[in-house]
This record gives sequence, C-alpha cells and structure tokens, in this order.
Amino acid sequence: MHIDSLILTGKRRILPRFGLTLGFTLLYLSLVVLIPVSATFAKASGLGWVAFAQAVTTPRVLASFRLSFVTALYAGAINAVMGVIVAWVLVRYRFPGGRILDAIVDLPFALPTAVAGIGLTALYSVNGWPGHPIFAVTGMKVAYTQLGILVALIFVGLPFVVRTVQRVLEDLDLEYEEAAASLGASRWQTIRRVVWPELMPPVLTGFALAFARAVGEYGSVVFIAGNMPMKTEIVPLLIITKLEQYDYRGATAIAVVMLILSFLLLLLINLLQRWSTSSRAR
Amino acid sequence: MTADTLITIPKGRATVRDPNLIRWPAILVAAAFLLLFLLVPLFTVFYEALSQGLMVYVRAF
Repeated sequence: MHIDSLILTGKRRILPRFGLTLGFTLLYLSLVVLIPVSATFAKASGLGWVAFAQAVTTPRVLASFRLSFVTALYAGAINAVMGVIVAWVLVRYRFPGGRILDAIVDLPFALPTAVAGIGLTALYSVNGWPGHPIFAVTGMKVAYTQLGILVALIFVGLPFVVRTVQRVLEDLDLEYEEAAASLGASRWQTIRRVVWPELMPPVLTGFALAFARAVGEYGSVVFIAGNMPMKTEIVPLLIITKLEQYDYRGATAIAVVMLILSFLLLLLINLLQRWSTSSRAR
Repeated sequence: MTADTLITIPKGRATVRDPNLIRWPAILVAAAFLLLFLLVPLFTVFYEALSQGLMVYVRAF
C-alpha cells in the first residue's frame, strides 16, 4: 500500500492537518511579529494626525532618517559587491587559509554588537590603525563621522550576503559552465549569461537582509557614530533618546515611520527578486 | 574513429577555471576585506583589553 493512501485513508493521521498547521503558524507569527507591531501602531495612533506629523517631521528626525536609510543602502550595496567576491573566492578557489576565512565570515553573528562597536571605534579613531594613516594621508576622520557608521554597518551586514550567495554557488553545477564553454562561450560570456542569472536572486536577498539589519542596527553604531544630532544620530538612537525622555508616543511615531519605510523598501526588493526570477525562467 | 574520440573533454575543468590574473587578485581582495573589516576589530578588542598588562585585566573583574 502506498504511503499517501495510508495517510489519507487510515483512521489515525500521522501528519497534522492544514487547520492545525495554519493555526500554529498564525499564533506564532502573531505572538512574535503582529502583536508587537500592532502595539507600536496603536501607541502611535494616540498622538493624532497633526501631532504625529509634527513628531516625525522635525529637522532632527528627518536628518536621522536620511542618515539611517542612506548609510544602510550604501552598506548593503558595498556588502552585495564584496559579498559576491568573498563567496566566489570561498567556493571556487582552494588556497591556504581558505577555511579560516570561511569561519571568519560568521564572526558578526557571534560577536556582541557592542564589542564590535568598541573594536571598530578603537581601530578607526585617529589614534588607531588604520584610522591614523587614513587621517594622516587624507585628513579624513572615520570614527565619529558618517563614514564610521558605514564601516559598522558593513561589519554587521556582510555575512548575510556571503552566506546567501555561497549556498547557491555551491549548488550551481559546473557542468552548465562547461556546456557553455564547449559551445564556444568565453569565460566572461559564461559568467554573464550562465552564472550571473543564477546569482542575481540570492544577491538581492542578501542585500535585503543586510539592509534590513543595517537600518535597525544600534549596538555597534552607537559607539562609532559619536551621536551628534543632525550629523551622526541614527534613528534607533533617536528612539532610545525619546524613550529616556519618557516621550513614548514620539518614540513610537518614529518607529512606525521606520517600520513603514523598511517594509516598502523590502517590498520593492522582493518585487525585484520576483522579476529577476521570472525573467530567468523565461 | 569512435564518437568518444570526437568529444574533447576539458582536462581538469580548465574551461571553467578563472585565469590566475583574476584568481589571485580576487583572493587577495576577499582576504584583505575580511581581515580589515572582521578579524582586525576583534583582535583590537583583545589588544585594548590586555594593553595595560594581564594583572590589570584580571583585577578589572
């Protein structure tokens, strides 16, 4: 007797039914995501439209929004490029120390973000290495500037791109590339026409994950940013500041705008991903 | 002549191997990036923690 028929016709079902699994999924999602997000919206709604608009459109709030989202986008883009190179090197080349490099990639996952922030600040301050030579040669400070924030966001976001792309590269059979080469394609043509279409969706996924992490990052950034209002103050820090001032509604109003903007950007990236996957299928 | 002899099988997957001019710079860039952005900050934390000597570090607890 076939296993399917056992499951369908037997009196005692082994697998849980759709209703139970859906119920469990909805309950879990509600507890972890929907209820906290709804509570944030509910708290912010107590402000009223005018007060809400005033709370999220002050020059200080707008400057921190601009800083958080722009640096997160830059960090995501840099991580997307460097992540592909690192993943390619780790998967395709054998060289001494390769396994150590592979292990290093997961460091930001394991390291507490505050520790990373302390390390990066010590390293990129004008007395640190390479902060000192950078300052001596270019006159440019890294720590306590927007550049420092970018460095911290690159640190926390890199493994998202590397690990996402690495898995796909490992599964990508070399036979496709050999087939392209045997049909007369140059190495560049093979990369562009065979490998890149496969890599595009994971690169976008990695970018989205790195961007989402960067937008909400607090621990590592707070040390290296300097936290100067209008200059190096990120949105999560502004929310903490508002909470410390017992301005709970102001804090949730900023959080709501951040949630909406992040959601819209992630939706856009998801649509891009779908488009790239469907255009590959065609 | 059999059909097998007509098919050229690439030796050592040379057709899908990147040239050394690409390979080694890519390895260097990846290693330098990982060292500079991930490993050196970690070592800096240890260096800063132990810069005053082991006794000072132990006394801090």
